[in-house]
Amino acid sequence: MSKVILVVDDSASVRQVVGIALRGAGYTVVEANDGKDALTKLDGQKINLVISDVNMPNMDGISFLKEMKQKANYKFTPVIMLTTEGAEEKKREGQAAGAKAWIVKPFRPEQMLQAVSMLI
Amino acid sequence: MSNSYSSGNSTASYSSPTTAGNTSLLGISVAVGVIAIVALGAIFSGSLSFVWKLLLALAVVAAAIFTWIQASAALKQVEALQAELKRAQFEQQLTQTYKTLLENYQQLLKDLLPTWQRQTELARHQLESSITELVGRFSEIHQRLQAAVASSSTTASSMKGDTGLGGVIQFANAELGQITQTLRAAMEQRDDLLTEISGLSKITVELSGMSAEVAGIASQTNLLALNAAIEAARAGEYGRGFAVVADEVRTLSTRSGETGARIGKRIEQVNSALQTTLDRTTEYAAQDSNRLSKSEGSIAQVLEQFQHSSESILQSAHVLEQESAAVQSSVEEVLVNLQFQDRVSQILSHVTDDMEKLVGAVADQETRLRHGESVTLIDIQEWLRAIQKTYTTLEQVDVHHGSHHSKTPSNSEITFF
Repeated sequence: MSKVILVVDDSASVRQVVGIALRGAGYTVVEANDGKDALTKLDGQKINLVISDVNMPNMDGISFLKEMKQKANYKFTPVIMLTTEGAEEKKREGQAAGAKAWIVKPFRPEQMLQAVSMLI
Repeated sequence: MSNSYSSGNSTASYSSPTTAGNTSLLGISVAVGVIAIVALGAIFSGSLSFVWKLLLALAVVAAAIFTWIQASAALKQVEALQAELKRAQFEQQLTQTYKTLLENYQQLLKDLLPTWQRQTELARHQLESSITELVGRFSEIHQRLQAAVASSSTTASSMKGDTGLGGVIQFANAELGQITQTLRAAMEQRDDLLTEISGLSKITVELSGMSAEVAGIASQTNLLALNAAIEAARAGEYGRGFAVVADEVRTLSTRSGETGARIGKRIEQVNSALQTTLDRTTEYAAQDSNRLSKSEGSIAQVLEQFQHSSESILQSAHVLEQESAAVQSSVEEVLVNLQFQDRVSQILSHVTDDMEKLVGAVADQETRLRHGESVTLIDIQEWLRAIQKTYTTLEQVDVHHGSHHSKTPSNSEITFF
């Protein structure tokens, strides 16, 4: 059974690019529009890895990450932040919240897949 | 830091020190005038001595001079006051103009900013939907190319090696070569057979000779039998039995001669048939050999063409594979570049959010002005700092600080924690 990856981004085009690359590599993809939507997607299925944007309406990526890490079954699930934010301060914030990798957009699908394969 | 200013149409009202000074001087002038009139009365009453009259006259003259000076000063002050009044009126007109202009700006901002906001939001929405559509199309192209390249690669690799088209051609070449060799061997065997038949033909010649010999023996036997019959006739009664034997021998020799002749004839027929067969078979053998040579040539030609075609197909497949891979790479680049939409969308969001903030601030100030409340001026530096905090990309920060470049990062950057 293929690994399940949750893709959280308010931009439909980015979700599409990420989803296509991941599906092409044999992963199962679950999509969410923002942090709140993503929290609802965590329940009822096993997510092996999360790729999340940072700046999103309703709930941003860092807040979502913190909420997710509160859940016992997602405490050790790897998270990749995929964002336009390139500031070191934000990266440190993401690292403190429990992110394993930080990718600055625009990204190359193969590099993202490489990061994914390194984490799961 | 916050500044306040009074609202409404109240004009500036204040009492200047110059005006207060003028009032006191006017009082002194009146007092001096009253004293002068009293002094003139005393002079003309005639009850005073000359000295007093002179002193009073001097006092009246001094008062007159003082009054004249005061009157001149008062006149100048009146002129100054008139000029000040004109300036105050001009300032009031200017204030009124500014107020009208301010109200106009407020109304303009109130009406225009939401319009700009909606238009920007529309542009953002249209950009997002179009880019999403484009990404979808390009992704489809990318997937199809990926499948095409994989298929082409599989086909090309299946055409190579022992099991590929080249292998099939080599196998066909070997098999067909074996068949032609077998055919050639069969033809050689047939040639051997022809040699055998040719040998048989020589035997029939011998048989024919033997048949002739048999006929000769029969003829001689017949002659002997005839002689024996003659001798038997000479012997008379004693030779009667011998005459019967001689007759039988003659009959046998006749039959032997006839049989020999039939054998000879048959051998001749057989020989003729053999010769015909030999001739035809030799002719067919020549034709077969010719056909086999042609067939071998055709097979070699067909196989060579197959080989050439397979090489061309392989080469075309390789070129197609390379081209497809190049197009695939370009599509990947396009997909990377289309991610600018996310950046543009965020930048436009920040602008529209700030517009909304400005609309709120303007509306708030208008409400306060309408209710005659004091209005806090917008701290421009604080506003700029606040908007800077919302930026997500480094180029937004650069542009905020006056840079005109519009480059976006081209290489994705990954940091592992």
